Amino acid sequence: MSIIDTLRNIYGEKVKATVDKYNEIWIEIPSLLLREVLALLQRNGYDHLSTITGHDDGERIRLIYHLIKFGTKSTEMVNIVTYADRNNPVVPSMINEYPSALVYEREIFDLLGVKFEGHKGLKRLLLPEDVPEDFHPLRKDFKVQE
Amino acid sequence: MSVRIPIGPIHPMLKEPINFVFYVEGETIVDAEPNIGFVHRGIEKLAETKTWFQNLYLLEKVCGICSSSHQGCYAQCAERIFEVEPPERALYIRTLMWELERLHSHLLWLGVIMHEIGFDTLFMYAWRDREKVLDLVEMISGRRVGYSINIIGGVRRDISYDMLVKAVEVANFIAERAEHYEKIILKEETVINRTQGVGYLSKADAIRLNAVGPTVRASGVKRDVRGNMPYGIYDETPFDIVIDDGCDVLARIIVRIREMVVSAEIIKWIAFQIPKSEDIKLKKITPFTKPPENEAVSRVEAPRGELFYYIKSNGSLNPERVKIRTPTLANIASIIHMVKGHYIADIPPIVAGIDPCMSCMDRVIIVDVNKEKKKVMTYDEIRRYSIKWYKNNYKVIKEERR
Repeated sequence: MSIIDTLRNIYGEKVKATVDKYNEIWIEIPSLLLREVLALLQRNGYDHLSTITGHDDGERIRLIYHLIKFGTKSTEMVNIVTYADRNNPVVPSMINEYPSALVYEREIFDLLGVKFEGHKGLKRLLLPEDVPEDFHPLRKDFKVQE
Repeated sequence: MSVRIPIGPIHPMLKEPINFVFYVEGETIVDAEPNIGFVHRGIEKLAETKTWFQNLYLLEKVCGICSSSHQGCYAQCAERIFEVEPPERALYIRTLMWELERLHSHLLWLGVIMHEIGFDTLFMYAWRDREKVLDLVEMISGRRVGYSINIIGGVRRDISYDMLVKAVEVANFIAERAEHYEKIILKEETVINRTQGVGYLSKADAIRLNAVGPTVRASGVKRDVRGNMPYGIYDETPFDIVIDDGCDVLARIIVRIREMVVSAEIIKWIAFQIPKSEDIKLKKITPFTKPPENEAVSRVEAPRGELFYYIKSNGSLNPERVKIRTPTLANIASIIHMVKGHYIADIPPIVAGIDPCMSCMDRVIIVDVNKEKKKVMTYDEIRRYSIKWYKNNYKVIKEERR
């Protein structure tokens, strides 16, 4: 049974899934289900987290978890899409399921200001520590000084 | 003049700064903390203001050594956004450049790791051989590094018969040298004593920490983007994924040397199989072509491991979001795990083992937990210190590792 069917069986209409031409599966879930779904995927062999992408679309912060399940015959790629509120973006941290999320979550906190609940060492990764607290350059309303 | 502000991803590759804090008890490391971000250039934000074609030359400069992997990965991702397929001959040329890049990157790394453990003879030989590859790359593209060979929908320049003949020559030469180096390294006691059992990363940990590239393959895990998720022409190319069960720095050396032999085989296969055609780029994609609203993911096996690009387009001439994840960032978690329990003298081979930016570690802070004293050592100092320490403690360590 494919992972899309498994998720549909459990969560029904809350899960929206598409497959693109390059065999990438895109699954959209509400952020409340994030920890549950990622833990389920981890148990199903999706043990490689390529990275987490954060993207500000103007209204919400879009987070994409790029996962891979390596197999001897075929490899499955799943992209879990979820949204966080732009004014107060808080999502659960995934460092227990995926230890590599440690640096990726710090990067998104740094550049987009998303807070990851449960991440103990959440501090800036790339920018210096003395920049103002609301300094998040990848947000769309951040203007580069001329 | 627009001012460029520091925003974007970090690429701790060669000659770029990274800072580690190691916590030690006596000679043993108990914890480590890397600090990155010293050469943050804001490339991701800058890419949002450039056009699709300008970005080819911006993103190539993310890394000097694996410039073609970055540019190729971006071009591949952009092609998925534009929903086009490049001509076959272009894919062959692209793959040829990727494999040549792997050859010269691995040779550079072999020199670096040998320099770290004080075996400078092999360092000189490896870098001498690398020149042959660079000459070939210059012959094909016009430049030694930053070849700019890829464009969206194909490649910039065709390849001639003479170049293919030269490519086969170089591939044969490098394969022969690589086999020679493997023989030396497996026999040479100075190399084995400094690398065997050092930087141990078990198979389970490599999977758990999501290590990539030769680091994960040296822990006996068969993970290679070329084999698992074929791109370019890798689904037709016959090649083996090299793995080794050693889980230590020695295994990482062996994996990279054997990968050079495999790369040489792929280059020869390409030189004989490349289809004859005039077609190397798509005419319908110009710098002023607007893509549809779309998003795509692209992965490439760079010399250091899985390179990841995500691009979103909003239908205009500029991408809406470009996300880059370089292999070194993915391996940072493994470094912290690998150094724990080892000696200070083992830091250089372990850190060099993942092939990060070597000189980026320009400064190491050593904190003695018992004395709570901070001592700052430059990278050169710690290298000399480690060679001297091994000379003095050679016999004890040898007994311990048995």
